[in-house]
Amino acid sequence: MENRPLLEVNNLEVAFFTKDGVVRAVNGISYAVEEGDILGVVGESGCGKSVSMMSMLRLLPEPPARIMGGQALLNGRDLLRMKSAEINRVRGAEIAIVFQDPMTSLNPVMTIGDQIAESMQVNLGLSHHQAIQKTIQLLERVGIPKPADRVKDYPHQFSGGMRQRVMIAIAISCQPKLLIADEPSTALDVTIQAQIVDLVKQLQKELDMAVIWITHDLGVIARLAKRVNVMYAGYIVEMGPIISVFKRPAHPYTIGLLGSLPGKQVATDQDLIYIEGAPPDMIRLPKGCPFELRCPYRSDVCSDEHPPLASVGKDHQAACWNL
Amino acid sequence: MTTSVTLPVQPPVRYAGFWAGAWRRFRRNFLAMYGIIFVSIIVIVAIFAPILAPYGPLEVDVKHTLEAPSLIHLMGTDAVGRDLLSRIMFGARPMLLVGVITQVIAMLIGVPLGIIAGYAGGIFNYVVQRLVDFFSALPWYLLVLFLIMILTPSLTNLIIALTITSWVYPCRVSRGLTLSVREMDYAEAARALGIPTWRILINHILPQTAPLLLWSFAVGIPTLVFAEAGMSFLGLGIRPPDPSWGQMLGTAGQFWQFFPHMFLFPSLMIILSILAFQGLADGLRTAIDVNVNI
Amino acid sequence: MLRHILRSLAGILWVILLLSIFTFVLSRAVPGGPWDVGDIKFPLTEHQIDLYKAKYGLDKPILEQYLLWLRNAVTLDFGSPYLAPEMTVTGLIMKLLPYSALVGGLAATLALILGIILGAIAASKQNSLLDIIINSFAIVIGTIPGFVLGFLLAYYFGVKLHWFPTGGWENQPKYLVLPVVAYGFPAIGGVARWTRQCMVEAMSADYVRTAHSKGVRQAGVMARHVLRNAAIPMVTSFLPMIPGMMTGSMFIERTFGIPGLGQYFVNSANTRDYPLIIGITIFWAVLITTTYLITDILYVIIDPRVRLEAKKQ
Repeated sequence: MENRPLLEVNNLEVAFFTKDGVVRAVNGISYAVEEGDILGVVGESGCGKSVSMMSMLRLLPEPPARIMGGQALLNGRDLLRMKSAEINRVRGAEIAIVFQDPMTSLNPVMTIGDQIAESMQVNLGLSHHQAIQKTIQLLERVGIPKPADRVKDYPHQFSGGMRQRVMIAIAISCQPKLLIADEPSTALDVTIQAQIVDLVKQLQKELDMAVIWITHDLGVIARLAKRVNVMYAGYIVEMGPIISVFKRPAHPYTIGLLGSLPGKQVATDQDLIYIEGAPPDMIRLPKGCPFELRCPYRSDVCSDEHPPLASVGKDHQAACWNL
Repeated sequence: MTTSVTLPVQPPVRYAGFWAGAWRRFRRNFLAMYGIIFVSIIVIVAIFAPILAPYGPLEVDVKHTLEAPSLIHLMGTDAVGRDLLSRIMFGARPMLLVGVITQVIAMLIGVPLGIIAGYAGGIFNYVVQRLVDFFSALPWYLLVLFLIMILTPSLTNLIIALTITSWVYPCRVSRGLTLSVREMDYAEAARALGIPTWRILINHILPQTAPLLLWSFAVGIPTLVFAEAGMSFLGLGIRPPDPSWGQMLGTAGQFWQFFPHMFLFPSLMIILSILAFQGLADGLRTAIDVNVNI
Repeated sequence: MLRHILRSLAGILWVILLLSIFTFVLSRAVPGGPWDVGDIKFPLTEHQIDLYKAKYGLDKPILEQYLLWLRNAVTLDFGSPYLAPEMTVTGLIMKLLPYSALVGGLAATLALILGIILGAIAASKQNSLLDIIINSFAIVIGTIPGFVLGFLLAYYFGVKLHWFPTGGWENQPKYLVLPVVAYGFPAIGGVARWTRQCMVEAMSADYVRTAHSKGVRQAGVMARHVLRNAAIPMVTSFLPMIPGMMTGSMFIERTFGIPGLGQYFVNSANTRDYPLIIGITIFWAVLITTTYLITDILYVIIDPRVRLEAKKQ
């Protein structure tokens, strides 16, 4: 059994150099994903969850983005230091991404069959004909009816949910070891969302893939993930097994998130609970804890020093001075 | 469980308005600033030409024909001894008149037509659309040349002819804008509240469309300056002896080969003017972040 | 699909018809006629004018004149020019067409080739110094009217250096060089900027990110994803340039003394040669609108979204 994790991220730091200043999008995050693991990444918009994933595959445009430091080890090889030919070999073949917006993520003038086949042609060296055959099977697997006919169709002939299934088909076509799903269901309506989540769950079991699922929707995480990272302002503020984090949240932000889920309030006409304040300006991050201004438990040390991750349970950590 | 925290008081952030931001972006554009400065100078020259010009533009002096630039004639003289500098100064007038007035009238016709067509729809929209299609299918010089032939060349007729071909673009832009704004939720909300149509048009639709309309005003001028120069060049615009830069090029006749000053100065003025108006239009586009997809 | 084409065709026919009515009625609405031009030393009497009118068929009611003209026009008979009654308008147009077509066509080709190359370079090196230089160059060069540039080039290369003739026409390529360059060069600017914009828009699209995430290499991304999408707006804008420049060459023809359709169009405007001017107007209109039709059809072919919409109708 491998005792080295599939993906090991150490102190990843990513910044964007804009004319308004340097946006510190990711500020030293570290985590690991084992083979076959399912990791959920939760956080509000702008907390750095997508940026951290895209930077690993080097999909961020290098100006204005820059990887400031850290490592992302895929089976021991550092993705951040690979040359473009190498990282191209990783993309699609070992790590695949499903993006958020299926409307714009597909090429409108190419058939979906060609787009799915393209991945296999590039990564597995299949001929076009062979790739199309496998594509038809893939379409069936992801639940698109009449796959042999629809192979020749164009993206605009599919609904949003179908398009996302196509994206998933593209992603799993070369049986990658890691599938990163960047809010794939956010742009879809709730019932379709559930279908997509279930689909990924099945595929994960079948192909024994590791999955990283990024979302701001706690419900999805609860259904799917085994472990979860909670991100805020470019930091991981809490990480651990899903049950532990949900039952015994340690970081005030996580507590706030879970507390803000509408529950009894809806039935009893109480006010909804929310977290006061707004996320910090990523160009001018405070030197202490980034959550301090919104935190009900803050103390003096919180504004002076940034809290490191500390253990609060088995495999469960949170970055807070007031645990 | 506590739900709220007193936040420390933060000084209010002052955000600049839309036009202030646009002006900042405009200022940064070198070509746009050149445009504004040059156009201002040209307007002043055109207005005060009678005072600024050393000679009259029609003053013939047969003793000093075809002279190269000298101290008494800074740009030289033409074939009948008229001072070129004075003629250039007065030549700014038709250029500006055609460029600006045509576009103003074109906007006055096109924009209301477009807005009403977009908002009201129905038969009005259909007719306007067909008209727009007709005029768009043909290049401007085709219709303008024909109209000039009918009306005989003159400054006024040139303006009329060009207006007829220029109203189309502002009409298209404003119709497209109106169509998209009309479907916006805030317009629908206004309608649901029973706000009368004209009020909706003025208070909701016009402010949204104003930047784009300003840009469509600016973007039409370079072509009109070119049109004036070109038509006058062909002898179908400003007729001699009234000066116009294009016409000065056209009547340089066979002399230009031996007396380069006769074509150099008008050429220069035409290029600088078109460049200036183009710079303005371009600068406006980046300043207000236009994304026109008509 | 066929219905879509037929609809476009019908639209074009409407435009041509409307234009013919427009030009015909306007030209008859103005007092005076071809007998007013030229060396008339004394005013004509009413009787003489009536004779002239009868000669040119201008005494009939206007509707009858138009229908007569229309019937002839459909068989491509546009009559004879007033000032050259030994020729036919159609014949004259055919004779003059090659000059304008050559100058305009070559200029358009020059502008398109150089413009697309420059635009593609600017797009691939977005926001670099090269991009800014190309963009500035494109703006500046686009503002110089062709006929103005013609003078400058003719003076420098013609008069001073004697490399090329400064005008006129013998059947030699060197007479073409200056007009084509003067006409085509300013157009490079617009072509380059539009190319750049189309390509940048395609390059910053989400599907390009998807393609990269699949491991497709830059060359494949450009060829299969960027260019195919950028080509659509590019073709629809660039194709009409060719007939556009063929018909708009009157300014450059005047500068260089090229005996093309443009020159004659202007001349016939001055001499009120109605048959000729109407003939040329209709000819140009047909040329341009036909190109729009071709562009329309092409658009349907290359853009699957439009194609399937059209099929549905």
